[in-house]
Amino acid sequence: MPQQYFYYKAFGLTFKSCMEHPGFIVENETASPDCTISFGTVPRKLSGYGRIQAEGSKTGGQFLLKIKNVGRYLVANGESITIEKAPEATDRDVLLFLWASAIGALLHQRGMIIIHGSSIKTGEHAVIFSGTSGSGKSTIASAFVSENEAQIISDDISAITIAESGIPVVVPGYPLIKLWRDSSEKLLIEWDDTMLIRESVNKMIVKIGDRFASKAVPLSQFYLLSYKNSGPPAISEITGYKKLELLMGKIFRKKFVWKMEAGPVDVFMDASAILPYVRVCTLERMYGIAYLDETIAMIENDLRQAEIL
Amino acid sequence: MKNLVWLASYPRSGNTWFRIFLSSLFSGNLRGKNLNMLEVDMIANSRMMFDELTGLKSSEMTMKEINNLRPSVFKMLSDQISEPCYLKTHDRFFLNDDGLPVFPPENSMGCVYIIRNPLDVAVSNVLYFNRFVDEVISNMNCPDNSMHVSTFNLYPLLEERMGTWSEHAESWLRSGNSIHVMRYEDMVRNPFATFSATLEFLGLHFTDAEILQALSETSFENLKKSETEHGFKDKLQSSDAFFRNGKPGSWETVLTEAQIERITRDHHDVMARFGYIA
Repeated sequence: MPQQYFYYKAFGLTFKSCMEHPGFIVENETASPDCTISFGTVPRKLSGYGRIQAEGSKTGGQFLLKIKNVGRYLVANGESITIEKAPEATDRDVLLFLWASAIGALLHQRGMIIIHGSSIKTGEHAVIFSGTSGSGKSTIASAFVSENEAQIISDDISAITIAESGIPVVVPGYPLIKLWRDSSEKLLIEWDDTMLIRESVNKMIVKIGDRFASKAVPLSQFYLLSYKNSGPPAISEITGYKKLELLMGKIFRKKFVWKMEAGPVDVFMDASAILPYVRVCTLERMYGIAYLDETIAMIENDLRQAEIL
Repeated sequence: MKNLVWLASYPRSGNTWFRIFLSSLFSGNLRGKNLNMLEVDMIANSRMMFDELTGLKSSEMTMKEINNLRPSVFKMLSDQISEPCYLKTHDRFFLNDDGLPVFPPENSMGCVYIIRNPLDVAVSNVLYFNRFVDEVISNMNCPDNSMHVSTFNLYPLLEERMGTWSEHAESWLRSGNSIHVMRYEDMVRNPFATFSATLEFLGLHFTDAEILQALSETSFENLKKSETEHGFKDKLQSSDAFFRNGKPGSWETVLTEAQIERITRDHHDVMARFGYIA
């Protein structure tokens, strides 16, 4: 029986995939997809490091991702992802590493600027909440969208391209958001074990539905979430050299990119391209859901002052 | 390359104090006495370090998968640096599911193991983590005792597997690492000799005056004052203060006879080995 393929739209690209991706935006079948995802034989080694290997350049090249008991992924030239699934792996596990790490590498190979952050659309502005795992990116984006006339553009990784006019735009990712249990309960989203990202990880995938932005949006605001261990949240605007330094630090998985031979110069060029168009602030807050309502109110106030909201 | 130095201890044993002392020595001062800008600030269980070096999302992985990759992560870190790198951990020394040491010996320069009387460790853990005394004593004797387990929400640190207080110490002692043990009580009572001996073990050369200055800057009173003025990012959200009392012997007024007897019975051999009981 011939392999069945599914067609999806994400990050401004058409994907032809051998796997069904529940919840994704379905696209019409096309003879010329931007990227093909297929099952096949994947080498055990490219060169270099133990289980995580990358070689090639930022645009093009090969990236090999190996996850024991899940599978191996070969991402090539920004055009294809080949998956050799481990016999014991579930589809859910294979999809999870595909969405986050393998597609992240593919977007890099295509020369997109990737920020580790969740993004929302308010009016004609994109706002990115960036930060490390656990800093509240998805929680703040979800809470903001539930309180305002806003939509989610992308959860967890936000891809930026430079439009012909030179303006950086954030392209829509997947119409899904991943939340920990405390956040879902705070946001009154019913916890559903069947929606767990994996059987063994207590984080749930929530479908966004009509609160998902369908078009690319100009980037206006960037918040860097950082941790404080007591007291209410605080927002500070960053200007000058610090602004560039901060943006460079948040270009997705810096070291991971450098191993793909896109060096510090590329990261600098990416950050410089965004810099004139974006207002940059730090947002210091306690982790988890402490002071969440105050955080959202403070962001709304800050965006109003900047005439973004 | 053998350039990773493990600063290992059970929680609340003086590890952070030693890290701040090294920071003070390396930077010449404590940068305006702000503990949130330390020179020696790397934590072996940093989720951010894992995610940055692998390009993976630890928040979506099981601890089994993460621990299977951690030896490669430390190898990558070791390959990227030329100077020795000091990494704090509360993990015991253990093998991952692949049978490999999570802290790879081929990249280890050595380990400074900081140990403190478990009677005081229990008291400090009770007050810092807001737990009941008997619960802490049970945890200190539980082989599966661990911290930062992300079940309901996500912690910025990866899970740390301590195991029992005794096994924690013994696992590092038999790890095959070149190891230097510092007793917290000696750090307090005889700081110059104790810290100097550790610097010698690490091959670090500073003058007596530099060591004395760093000790003065990192005295308990100064650390507590700095925390009051600037806060300290390593403090738990749920705790009042990181630097609490610092003096050995709190157990004498806090623990009951039965609690003392229980800890002493649970950890008799290791306590005897390090001079905590006759």
